[in-house]
Amino acid sequence: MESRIKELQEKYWKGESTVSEEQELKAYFQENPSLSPESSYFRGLQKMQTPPKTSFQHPGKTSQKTRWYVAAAVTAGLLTTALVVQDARKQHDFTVDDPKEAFEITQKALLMVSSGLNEGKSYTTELSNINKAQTYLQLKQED
Amino acid sequence: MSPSKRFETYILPVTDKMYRYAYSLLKDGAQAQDAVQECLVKIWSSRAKLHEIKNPEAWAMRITRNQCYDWSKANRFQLISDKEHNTPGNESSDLQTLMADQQLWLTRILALLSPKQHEIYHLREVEELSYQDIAEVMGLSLSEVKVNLHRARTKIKAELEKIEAYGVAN
Repeated sequence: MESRIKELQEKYWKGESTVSEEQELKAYFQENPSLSPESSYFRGLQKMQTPPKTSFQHPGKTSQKTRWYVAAAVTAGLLTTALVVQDARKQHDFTVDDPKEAFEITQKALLMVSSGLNEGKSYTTELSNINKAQTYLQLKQED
Repeated sequence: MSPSKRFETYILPVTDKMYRYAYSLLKDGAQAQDAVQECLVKIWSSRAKLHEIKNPEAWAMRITRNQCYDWSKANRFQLISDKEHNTPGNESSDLQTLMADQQLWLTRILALLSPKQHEIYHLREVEELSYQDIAEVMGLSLSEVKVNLHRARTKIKAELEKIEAYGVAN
């Protein structure tokens, strides 16, 4: 065994060894450690091959964490939609059987809308006053 | 075999090697991780061509190398392997592991190698690539690889002999 290792060492330093022979050397010194610098050297080489403590994400697969986020977002979306639909249904259920009462409710609603419209009309009057002033100023400038 | 399966069979098992190689060039764990992740995205996006690649491992390592060199160009920083050349005492990627094992002398010896020798040395001794694969990864001729590796080993051998004789590395 010793002569085999010596032979491999010679080949290694001459640059004539194969990858498998180099692996054999590293394995030998790992199993038979000694205090010689060469022994430490080959053991050191094997140490360098220690797998790194890092992991990489598969580019084609979303991570577990991302999946949870997506699932949570979808669930929240579905819940919101369900609540909105339920609320809209409740509003549709509002019916009045008595025609007189229905007329009064409609009248009130229309009054409310028309008062809003009138309010809007007052704003348009104010806006037209501003326009008048602007035209006046323009005419003045031209003079 | 489907392109996705090919990616999982030939590329994913090489990620440790890609990372160690990127680390040996960039000397920064976070940057090496980002570089390798970016390489994986690139390879994944061209996975349909994977069946045309004769040697996926060497190809992935070459992409890693290009990525690291592109980063160094884009960020206008010198690869630390260049900076560390002939400055014994600096810690380098592979060597941090060794330091933990109180093999500081080996750190000093490897720092004596030129950047090219160091890169070839890493690909051979740590990643166990064949001469042909190293030539493919680095874009060198086979004889250039052999000569540089032989010179690197000769330097190391001379230093080991000094340690044997005097007990310390110069």
